[in-house]
Amino acid sequence: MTAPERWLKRLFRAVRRDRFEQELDQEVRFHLDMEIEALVARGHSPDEARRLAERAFGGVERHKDSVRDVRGLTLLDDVGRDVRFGLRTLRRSPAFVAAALLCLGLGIGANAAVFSVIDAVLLRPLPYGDPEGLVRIYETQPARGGAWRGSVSVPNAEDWRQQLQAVEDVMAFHTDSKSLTGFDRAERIATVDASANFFRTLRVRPLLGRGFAVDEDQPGSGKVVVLAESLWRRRFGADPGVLGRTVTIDGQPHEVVGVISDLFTFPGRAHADAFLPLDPSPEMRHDRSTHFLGVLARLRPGMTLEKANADLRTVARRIEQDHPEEQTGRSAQAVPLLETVVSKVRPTLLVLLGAVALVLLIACANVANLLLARAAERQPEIALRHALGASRASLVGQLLVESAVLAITGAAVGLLLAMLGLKALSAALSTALPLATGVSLDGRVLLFTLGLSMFTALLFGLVPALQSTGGAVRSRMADGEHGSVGGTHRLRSALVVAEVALSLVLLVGAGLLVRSFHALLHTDPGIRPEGVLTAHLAISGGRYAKAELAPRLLRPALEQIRALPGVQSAGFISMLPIQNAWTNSDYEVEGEPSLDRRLAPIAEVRITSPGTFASLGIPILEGRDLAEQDGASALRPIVVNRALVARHFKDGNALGRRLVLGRVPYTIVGVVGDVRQAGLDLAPLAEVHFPYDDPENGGITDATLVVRTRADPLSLIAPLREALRSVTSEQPLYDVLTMDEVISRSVANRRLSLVLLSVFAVLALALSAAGLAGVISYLVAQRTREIGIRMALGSEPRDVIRLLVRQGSRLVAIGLALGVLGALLAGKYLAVALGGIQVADPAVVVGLAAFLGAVALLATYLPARRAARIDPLLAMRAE
Amino acid sequence: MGKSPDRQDLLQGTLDLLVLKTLSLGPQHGWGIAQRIQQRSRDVLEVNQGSLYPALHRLEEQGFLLSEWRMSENGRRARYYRLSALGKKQLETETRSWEGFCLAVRWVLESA
Repeated sequence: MTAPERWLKRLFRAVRRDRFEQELDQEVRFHLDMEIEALVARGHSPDEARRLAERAFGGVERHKDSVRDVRGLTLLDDVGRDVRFGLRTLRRSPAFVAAALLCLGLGIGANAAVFSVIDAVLLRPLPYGDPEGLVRIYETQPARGGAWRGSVSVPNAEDWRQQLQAVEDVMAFHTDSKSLTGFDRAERIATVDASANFFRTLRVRPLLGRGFAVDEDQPGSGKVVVLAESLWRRRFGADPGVLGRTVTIDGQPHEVVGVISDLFTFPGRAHADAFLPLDPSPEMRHDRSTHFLGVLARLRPGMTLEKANADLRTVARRIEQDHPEEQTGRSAQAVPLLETVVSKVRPTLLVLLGAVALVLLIACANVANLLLARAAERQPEIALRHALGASRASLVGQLLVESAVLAITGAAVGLLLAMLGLKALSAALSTALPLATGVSLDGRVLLFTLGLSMFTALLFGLVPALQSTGGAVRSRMADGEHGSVGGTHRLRSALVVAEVALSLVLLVGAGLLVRSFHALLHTDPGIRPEGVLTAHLAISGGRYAKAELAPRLLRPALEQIRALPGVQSAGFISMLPIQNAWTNSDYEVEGEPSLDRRLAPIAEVRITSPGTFASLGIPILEGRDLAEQDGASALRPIVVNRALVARHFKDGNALGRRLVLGRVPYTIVGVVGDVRQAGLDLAPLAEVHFPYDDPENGGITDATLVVRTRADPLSLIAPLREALRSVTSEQPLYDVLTMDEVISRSVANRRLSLVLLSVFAVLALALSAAGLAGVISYLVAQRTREIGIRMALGSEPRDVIRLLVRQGSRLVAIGLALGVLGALLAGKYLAVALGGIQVADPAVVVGLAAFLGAVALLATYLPARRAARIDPLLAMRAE
Repeated sequence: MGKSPDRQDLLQGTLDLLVLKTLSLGPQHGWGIAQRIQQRSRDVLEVNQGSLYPALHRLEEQGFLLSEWRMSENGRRARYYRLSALGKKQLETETRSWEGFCLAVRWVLESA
């Protein structure tokens, strides 16, 4: 029998304990009966035979016990007895239990909640088959620095697919949004357009039907679609007969060939409604200067990332030589897929994990303190049990079992709190984190929590257990003294110091975040968001030719909207500031050709209608706004921002100068203020605005409407939809948000970590204040007699209070000093992890230390004042 | 039943060997094992009946014995023990070491 087998059998016996006992009893009885029979046969009377047989056997129970011992049941019995005993003693002190469970519940609950998020987001692999082998491949421009990672052009993706040796299944995709029509009203759906090997590369099977067939991304093949489960339920009532039906997407019929589970999430698209074969236009298939694809691939078995990257560089060099015009200076890089998904959120989550670990440590210190106080009260009991022969080991074991009972109950409370907390946070979580849909208190989290509670029990239980069973146990029983022992006293003080220090670290961490968040919210976004309503206008592919978009759809729409009461101005732009960025192009200033093509300057590119700058509140610094018919002007007017002017035109004179984009010269007719295109925390980028009615560059296929209103922006939503209906029957407005909401969403991730960290810091503050008050109360109780004597000898209550507070404040001062050191270290880590944080913000550190000090002094003052009210006579008689 | 002076208590550790040897002759219940040992030692060795059972359970726990419930010769349910393959090997090992021990003791006694 192997060791695990043996333990399994033992466990089985422990569970079927009644059966084991019954069999043992039967076995012994059989033996005795046989012996009696034999003795009777030899002529003894039955009574005498029984007596003799039992004597020959020896103590029946003693031998049974030895059998149980051999079978490993005694250890389990001991633990069982300790648990029962522990429950009994705990039941006798409900106040202690309630305090301990509250501390442990908060501490363990916070950890369980944060772990469940970390488990879902960082630890659990992506919802694909063999996700470890998946890499994402980016185009890079080594001359611009290693961090530059760009999207991929169609021909490059195709060349990689054909030429790369180290990877298989090179798969390209891009995310899009399309119109789904044919139901009661048009709906905007989020799609992923991907090459035919999409599902095969990810090794994912649809719930129903199939993925794409091998050639379904080839031009001229029939149009198919795989629906997401949610869309299938919403629009088709989860009808399995949906396969083979035809749905209209962007005005084109598509055959439904499969349905895929909602558990399938895809990077870059937290939620997708449908998956379609990628179908680039014929021009795109040859255009190496338009980069819009994401590319995934699977490493061949035995291939390392390094080898794949070497292979990739070789292929990229070949492409560079074949197409110097578009490819000069471009290379490529593969990055593990999981890395690309979690690298941004990992620091945030690790910071939160650190914070909850601190909270748990503080909670443990509190419970350890409670246990120490209790141990002092239980000294006579422990001494008595020691005197009766209990070994120190068994006493420690017993106390630890008691701690474990506490910890597990605390963990149950904690899981309940974690469940409530996660429910409250679920909305914020799913907007702030990728892959957060899988967050739940599942088996893994339960296991983690169980392990954590055991570890916690050791952490808070071991030292008190050793402390209270060590040393002169006997003598303490003899003199019946409840008094404190020097060691306990020091230990308790050390715990208080640690609590104060840890709380300060958390408070300062949260304070730094609040400060940086506050600063972030007050950075000038470059626009005036008040009173601005934004909405995306979806335009079905193919319904309008590119050149027709402005005259036939956008311009009439703007005319209708501007006529609405309450509308001050309105415009269309291809990308909303703060919400979206990274559509760019390289350019040259006319007359200043770049020496090195690889280092040609880059500017964000926007297509912008007249009225947009006024609507967003972007100031026109020089020249004029773009105007209607600018697209038709031979001047080719453009508007640039101040960042671009500052980069090139030192004399500040930009009007009339020309920029060359794609070999075509454009004339600068206006200069506008800078906006933060990519979010509040990123500096403004150089930017070029093209007129929306330029037949070549214009034609916004996914335009954002911006409307500056005089009234409440939300009251305009219905009139807007009505006004659009008079221009076009089908075009839905979607993602309708005020500009303030756009900004607030852009900082959702930071706000979440800020809120959570603050909650944890307040929790820590409350826990350590409670701990401090507890310790001072205990010290007071210890010194009741001394205080009585002092007061009988003429001390004023004031003096007593001062004495006790002085004692408390010494601990607080040491704690604060250590806390400041810890906070500086933590601040350094925070600055690295989260960015935008000033490491040593003296105002925050000093302010919070003072605040914590005040709270701590209050926590010492209250019990001290109570002590000073003691009647001296009663006090002296105490004990 | 008092001990007669010519009866020997079992040496610590030899009980296992005797149990294994007895069971190598066929499955047997606890009482039967005690009886056999006593008979075959011509009543010289007396097994302390109570301590036999912890030994049997220990040997089973170690994997040397297997046990099952069967009808005994007088028609009652009894727990029968038998040797496992591991037990057979163990019997050989213990027999050899016992013989070595006896030999060594004899050398010592005869050397005078």
